[in-house]
This record gives sequence, C-alpha cells and structure tokens, in this order.
Amino acid sequence: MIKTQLVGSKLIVFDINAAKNIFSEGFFGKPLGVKKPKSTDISSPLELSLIEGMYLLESNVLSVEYMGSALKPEDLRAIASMRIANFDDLYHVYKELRKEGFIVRSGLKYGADFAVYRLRPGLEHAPYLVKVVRFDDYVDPGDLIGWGRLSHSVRKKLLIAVIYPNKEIDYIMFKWFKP
Amino acid sequence: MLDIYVRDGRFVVLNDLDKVRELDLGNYVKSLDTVVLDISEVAYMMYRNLGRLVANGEELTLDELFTKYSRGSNDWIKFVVLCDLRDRGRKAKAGFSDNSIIFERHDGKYLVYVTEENSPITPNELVNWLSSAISKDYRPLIAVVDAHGDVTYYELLRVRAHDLKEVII
Repeated sequence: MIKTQLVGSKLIVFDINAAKNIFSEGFFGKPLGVKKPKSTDISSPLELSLIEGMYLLESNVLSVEYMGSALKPEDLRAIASMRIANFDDLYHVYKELRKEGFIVRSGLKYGADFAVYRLRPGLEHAPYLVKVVRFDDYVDPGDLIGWGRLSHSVRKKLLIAVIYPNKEIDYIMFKWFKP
Repeated sequence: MLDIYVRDGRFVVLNDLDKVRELDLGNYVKSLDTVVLDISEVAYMMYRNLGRLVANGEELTLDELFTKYSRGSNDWIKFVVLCDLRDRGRKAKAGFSDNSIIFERHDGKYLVYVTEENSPITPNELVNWLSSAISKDYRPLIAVVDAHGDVTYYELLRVRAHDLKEVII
C-alpha cells in the first residue's frame, strides 16, 4: 500500500517510485512542479486532490496519514467535506466516471469541475468538460451559456452531471446550435 | 395584411385562412373554422406587417397588445425567439407550452425551450423538458435570451456515462 500524507487539501506521495506507479496507473494527481504532465516518467513527489485521494483510499491503493494517524475513508470524507462544500456530489460523479474507465482531472482552468479523457492526457485533448449539479439546484441560464461558450471555444463538449436523490446521475450534453 | 381578432380571450383569424396557413402560424380549430394564434405569433405578424390586431373595432399597436393581453412572463422572450428563428428562415411557431417554440428543418423537428438570463431553472426541469421533447419525436433545444435580446441556442442530449466512450456529436 502506498503511503500518502494529508497536507492542507492535498495528499502528497513523497516516494518517487510510488508516485510514478500511481501516476502511470491512471493519471492521478500532478507531479510537483510539472505544469502539463504528459509522460509517466516523473521524478518528483505527487500531489493528489482530496477527490483523487478518496477514490484511491477506497480502492485500497493508498493509505493516508494525518497528524500521525492513519485515516479511514470516512475520516477523509469528513475532512474533505469541510474543505470542499459539494465534495460528496463531486466525488460521486468522479467515482462513476473513473469506474467507467475515464481519466478524470480538474476542469478548473476551463471553469468546469472536471475535464474528462477517454484515452489519456498527451494522447488526446479532453473531449468533455463536466459541471456537477443537483437535480433541484437553481442554475442561471446565463451561466449555462457561459459554460457552453467556454467549452465550445476550447473545442470540448459541456456535460452537466445531474445528481438525483437516489444517487443516479444523468449527463446532459450541450452542443452549440445554429438554427 | 391579415386581420386578427380577439374572441373569448383568444387571438383568431377568421378570414384568409389560406394566407395564415401559408405563413405556418397558429393552429387551425376545425370546429370553429378559425386559426387560433399565440400572443407571440400575433406580435410577430404585427411587427413584420403581416397582420393587424383588431379589438372592439379598433386596430391595436404592439405596445397595446402586450399591455392588454400579455399574461405570461415568457410572452416577450418567446416573441423575440420567434422573430429570431423566422428571420433566419425557419417557419417557427408557438409550441406546446407557454415557453416553447417548434420548427422543422432538413434534419428534423425541434422543440425550443425559451428562457432568459437571470431566470434560474433547475436541472430537473431541463431533463424533464428533454424527455418530453424526445417522447414527441422532437430534438430539444434551449434558447437563452440575454439582456439585450440576443439569442443563443444549444442542443441538448441526455447521455449515460458509458455512452461517453464514443464522442456522440
């Protein structure tokens, strides 16, 4: 099991070989100081987000140490929920997409929650951007257009992931349309 | 120019039914032998000098149409989207609800959900709309009218995670 350390809102893999393993397995995290990691040949500690860390902890790939104690999944979830307001919703969608075999990375630079790859970064540009919402959230149509326009400008498809109370997820794809 | 009358709170065309059919606006009601128009369609006809609204023997202006007869918050934006689609050469007409418009083009029939910025909607409404459009054999679109009346359109598709393996569009 790979050891990680929870520091702030990141889980750090200090062991370089372990970092290399995790990164090459599914493009989890980001090697420290590498802006656009495309190759799996890395040589620095790996930073994992709380969402990635939770997924790998639940998958028994890693252990998380925090202030001298090992965290259980429920401990990490509680900490993550305090730091990220909609952690449960984001994690739920992240987990489904990962289980379907997609590479899921942060979509922050595109104004989305996730950027989703079918293959891997470096081999393709992420074809999808995902924004996570609950079925009863109020969304301004102006925001929908903003997200859609941004996605279109970077040649990606916008997906709104809608979470229902029964935890089912619907994805609504938005395609710019010229009548 | 077609004469449009107000009868029992509805906008109707009593004469020249062939002309209104040619425009492909409104719905023909067989029992009354009239075409009934939506307020957005009446506004479009008035705005484009295709028709005039007559009530109590007097011709009304566009301003008076909306002042006296607008009951829904979507009436104006529906008119804006109808104009936009018609100006683009689409024979758009009022749809099945107070915020919908329908039109047809070479690749299919479209049902447009008309909304505007600063008028929040829930994702659930969108999903229900999308399902309803598909069940009627229409392709769902959302038309968002901005503060200056410009319209942006998006086509919506409902997909499951495993469908994303293939880029659908």
